[in-house]
Amino acid sequence: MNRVDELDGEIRRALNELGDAAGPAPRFDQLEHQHNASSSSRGERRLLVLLGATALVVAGLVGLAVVDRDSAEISTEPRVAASIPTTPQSVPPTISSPAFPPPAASPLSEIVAPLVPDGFTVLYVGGPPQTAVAYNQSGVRLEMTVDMDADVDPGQLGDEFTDTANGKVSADGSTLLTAQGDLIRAVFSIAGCPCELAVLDDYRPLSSGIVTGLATALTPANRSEIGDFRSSPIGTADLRAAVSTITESSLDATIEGERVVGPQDFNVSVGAGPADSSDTSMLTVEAIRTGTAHLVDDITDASTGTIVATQWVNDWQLVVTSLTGADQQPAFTTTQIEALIEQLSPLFADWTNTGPTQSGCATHTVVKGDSIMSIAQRYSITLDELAAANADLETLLYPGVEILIPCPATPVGVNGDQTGLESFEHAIIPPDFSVSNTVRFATTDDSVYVISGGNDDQGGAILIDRINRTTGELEGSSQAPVQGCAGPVTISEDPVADPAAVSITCTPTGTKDTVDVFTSQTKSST
Amino acid sequence: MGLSAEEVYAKHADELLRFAATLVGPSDAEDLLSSAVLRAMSAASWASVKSPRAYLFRSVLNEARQLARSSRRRLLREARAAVPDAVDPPIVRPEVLNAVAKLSVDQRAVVFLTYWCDLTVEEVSDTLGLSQRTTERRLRSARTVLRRLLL
Repeated sequence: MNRVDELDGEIRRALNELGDAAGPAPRFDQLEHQHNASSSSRGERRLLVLLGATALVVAGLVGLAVVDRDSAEISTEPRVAASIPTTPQSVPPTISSPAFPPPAASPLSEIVAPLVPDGFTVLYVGGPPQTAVAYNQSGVRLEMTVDMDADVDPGQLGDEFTDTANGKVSADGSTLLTAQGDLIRAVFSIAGCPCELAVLDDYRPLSSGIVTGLATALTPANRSEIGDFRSSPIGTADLRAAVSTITESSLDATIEGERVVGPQDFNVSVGAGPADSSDTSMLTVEAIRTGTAHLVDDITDASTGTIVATQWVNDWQLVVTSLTGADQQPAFTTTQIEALIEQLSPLFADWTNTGPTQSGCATHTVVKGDSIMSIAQRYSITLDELAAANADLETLLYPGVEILIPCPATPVGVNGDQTGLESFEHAIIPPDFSVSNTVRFATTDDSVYVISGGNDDQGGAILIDRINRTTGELEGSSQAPVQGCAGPVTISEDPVADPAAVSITCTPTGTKDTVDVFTSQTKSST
Repeated sequence: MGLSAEEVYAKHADELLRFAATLVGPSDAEDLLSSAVLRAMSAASWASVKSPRAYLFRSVLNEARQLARSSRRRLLREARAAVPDAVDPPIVRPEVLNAVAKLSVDQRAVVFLTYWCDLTVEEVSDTLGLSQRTTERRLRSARTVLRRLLL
């Protein structure tokens, strides 16, 4: 049978199994019921969390007493926790605090500082949207967001958190648009301020002291200061400056920066385009922290967008996208874009090892009764590390599914020969390769190499995909066995400096011969 | 639009549930579908929707993305509650779940519409509001992954 047909058939079979397993679709009149029923069954588990969280809230309120005392009309009652009895809680797991550049001092830091409960460390302050993220030693995350965009439709931000079951609640000095029991989020619109304040607190019922205190801090007098944060966060100012250098001479550019921060993801983007709004041409630069399976895919959805350059700097990928305007002319010349990349690269040179990478050096097959917690404990890793190595871990945690267990490895050198690159061109991905392990990246002038450790049917092996740096097209794949290694193979070098000489580790143990990644063997299937 | 919301739902419920199962796995599919449909049909813009089918597909996809975003938070929260998360296996082979787990939510969406609904690249693009180039790229990268894991 033709291999293409065979794959198509397998995909249809897989989709059929997934759909069958979901059972029959609910009737229309069952939708609301289904929605509520599932909420309440989850609610039982959630109750445990809330019970545990109550004590934290009480402690938090003590810490906030100073803030609350000054505003007589502000309630100190925790809204959600009011009806929940305080009971002993289980000790929350300890996670290592995320390593990240320290937050830059800024006016927003000063505003936020008195609002942050005892025991929390502010990890990040910046924006837009203006965001403060704080962690405590137990890994509880507190996130506050202020959206200063005057044209934000009141309630638009709230829509994201809409919970019809809870409805709207009024609060003094501000309007609580939504309070969602699940994620325990609240969105406030602040009287006299064209902005909304969102407080996301995953683990505790909202402390009204935190929310109203922050709202009070956002007086019109403070707002001009907050506006300054648009240019102050780490990196974004540098990116803006770099983009400015190529746009000033050619275009009256408008530049907007955006930044999303978390221990797992870090994403910076800057766009520049002509000030004439009728010309929609635009150049955007995105810096994306990448682990696995996220190359240039999914970056541009605009039909006029073309990726004109990509560059790897450590574990960052800089992607330059050009959006063609109505005149069908590219906004920037190749020379300008190259100059931009050259300027941007050093900005990320020391942004390495700032958080967990998506890697693994062992796998665990889930058995009935496993929980995320029990797996993490068994391998002596943190929940953060486990989550970092496995996208969608929770959604697909069924018995039989393999998940990646991250662990350190000792590098072993494997030499290669760049001249073998030619044979790479015509390789076919063999069906017997299973990526059970790390994925790393390397760049040459023309290509990005995705280098995967894993197994083939003979033992440890490496699989390399080559992707055109400019177009994002997959140009070829090749597989090299690692002699004497039972596998799986771990790519220990990160980033890979030279795709033809990849440092690997054979796990669990084992010595190996020198392997020429490109020329030793290229398996093909018929 | 000639059909009532209920009729529109009845017409597409089966494929939407299968779509949801592909995006988030079978056990969360029904919940996801309910949330997405209720949200879509209660939105003010529902009355003016030209293609309810595409709109509902997009709603389910949006809901699934939301779920993926909050997945890590829920992960930590539920781990704390110390409830075993592994449930009885549904009638899905582990290798299928493994393969799906390796795809992004967006890739799953494109694969489903292509292989289950038999849509062309153009139709998939229209349904999801993507450029054809993006659709093709997602499909190609998804097939690369699936070839490795399913064959």
